[in-house]
Amino acid sequence: MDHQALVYWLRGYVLIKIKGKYIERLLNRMMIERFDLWNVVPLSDREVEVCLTTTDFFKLRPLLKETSCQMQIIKKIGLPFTLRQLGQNKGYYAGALIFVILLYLGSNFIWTVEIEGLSSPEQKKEVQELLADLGIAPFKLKQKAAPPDEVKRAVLGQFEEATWAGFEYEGTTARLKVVLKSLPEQPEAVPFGNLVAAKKAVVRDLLVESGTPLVKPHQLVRPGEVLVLGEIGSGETSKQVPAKGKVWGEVWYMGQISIPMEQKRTVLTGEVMDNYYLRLGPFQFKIWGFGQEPFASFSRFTEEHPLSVWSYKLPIAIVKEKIMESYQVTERLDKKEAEALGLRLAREKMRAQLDDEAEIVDENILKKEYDSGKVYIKIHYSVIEEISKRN
Amino acid sequence: MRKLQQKLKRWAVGVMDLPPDLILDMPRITMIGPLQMYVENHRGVLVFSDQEVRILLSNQGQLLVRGSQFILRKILPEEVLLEGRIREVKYIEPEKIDGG
Repeated sequence: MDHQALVYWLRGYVLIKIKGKYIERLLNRMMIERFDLWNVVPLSDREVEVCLTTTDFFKLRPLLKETSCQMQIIKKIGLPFTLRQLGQNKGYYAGALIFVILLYLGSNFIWTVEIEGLSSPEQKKEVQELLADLGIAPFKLKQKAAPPDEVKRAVLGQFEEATWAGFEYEGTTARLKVVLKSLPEQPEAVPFGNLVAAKKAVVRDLLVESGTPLVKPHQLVRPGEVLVLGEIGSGETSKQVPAKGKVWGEVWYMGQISIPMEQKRTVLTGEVMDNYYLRLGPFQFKIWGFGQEPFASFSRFTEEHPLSVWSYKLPIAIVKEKIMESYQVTERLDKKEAEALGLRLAREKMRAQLDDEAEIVDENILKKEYDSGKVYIKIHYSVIEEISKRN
Repeated sequence: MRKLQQKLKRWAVGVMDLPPDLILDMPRITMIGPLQMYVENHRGVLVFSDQEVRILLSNQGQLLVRGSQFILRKILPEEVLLEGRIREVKYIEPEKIDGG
């Protein structure tokens, strides 16, 4: 809608049909009288449709008489006509307006008061009365209620136990949150007892939280030996306590591994075949990748893409299978390489057995043997780890 | 006297390079392909139908336009805007009309 069309619409115009013998003459007369008319569409031989502004429409009659043409209104278009139509269902719009006003008025009242953080009914009642005094109760105007800061102060003043109070409006709900002072929580109870060694080790370090340490660093301990005694003081002043702490010790482990001198490896050639399958529950159909030459040796990787509707998973999945051509390579290791590989694998094996906190501090090869294409290695590990356990 | 004035005007257009539509009161016709046609300096619509429009021009000549789906978008004393599929535009000189 361009600018001119908008102006016409705002002021209102009529679409009229003109019938007559001398239509051209009428058009020329209208033009000379500077009528605002546009979109003259010929309908048939002696009939045209014209758009005309309402103001000019009222000046049309004498010209029609002059040229003996007849006129018929087809449509009234524009804001003035639309407004007049709206006026006909006044009640509807009045209702909408009243609704908006009521909604606005209603939102100015407090409808509910919520109190959080108080468990006992007596306290709740007390707070409710306090709030009512401050003007915060159902069916009271929000504007007349005390400001939130004042409410907070009043609540804190009334309740000695309260450490914090928060007050706010959420729509038509007044919400008061009270946090009462709470006692510090009791620490977790630990049963009385001693800490004893779990394995044979040399003590490296101790960290005792409670109890009396009975061992010193560099001392050899055997399984079951008491490390930290669950008692403090001596003689008559002694007192039972749960022994707590950590004891790190050096523990020895043996590791052994045999490594073939000939290592077989799988190498990919780079040739790839993709197959697609449609999986319906337990059934799987191939849907793509027919007629391909199979590889003599290959590695297979599959990816599954379940179909889902929004968050609901369907029992249908597209399975993509990647078949990559491969071949085997045999590598001959020399003694040094085989030994290094063996050490590495053995250390990984060792690590897998230990705790995360444990640390391998030393490793020594005790024995190396080459026999029928294999290297056999025996290794000694020194590991520092937590050795205490509760008994 | 009138003829002299006309001659003088024609001379002015030629020599001084003035736009002839202003000086000689000639119609100015602008067309946008076969779709739109502006006619300035006209003197009214003589015939208007779906397929033929005849416009009286300021120099007593006539403009005959043939085609289809004609609509007069705008009609003002200074200009007429015609829309439709224009196939044929004919200019009929004043002398011919006087004669026939």
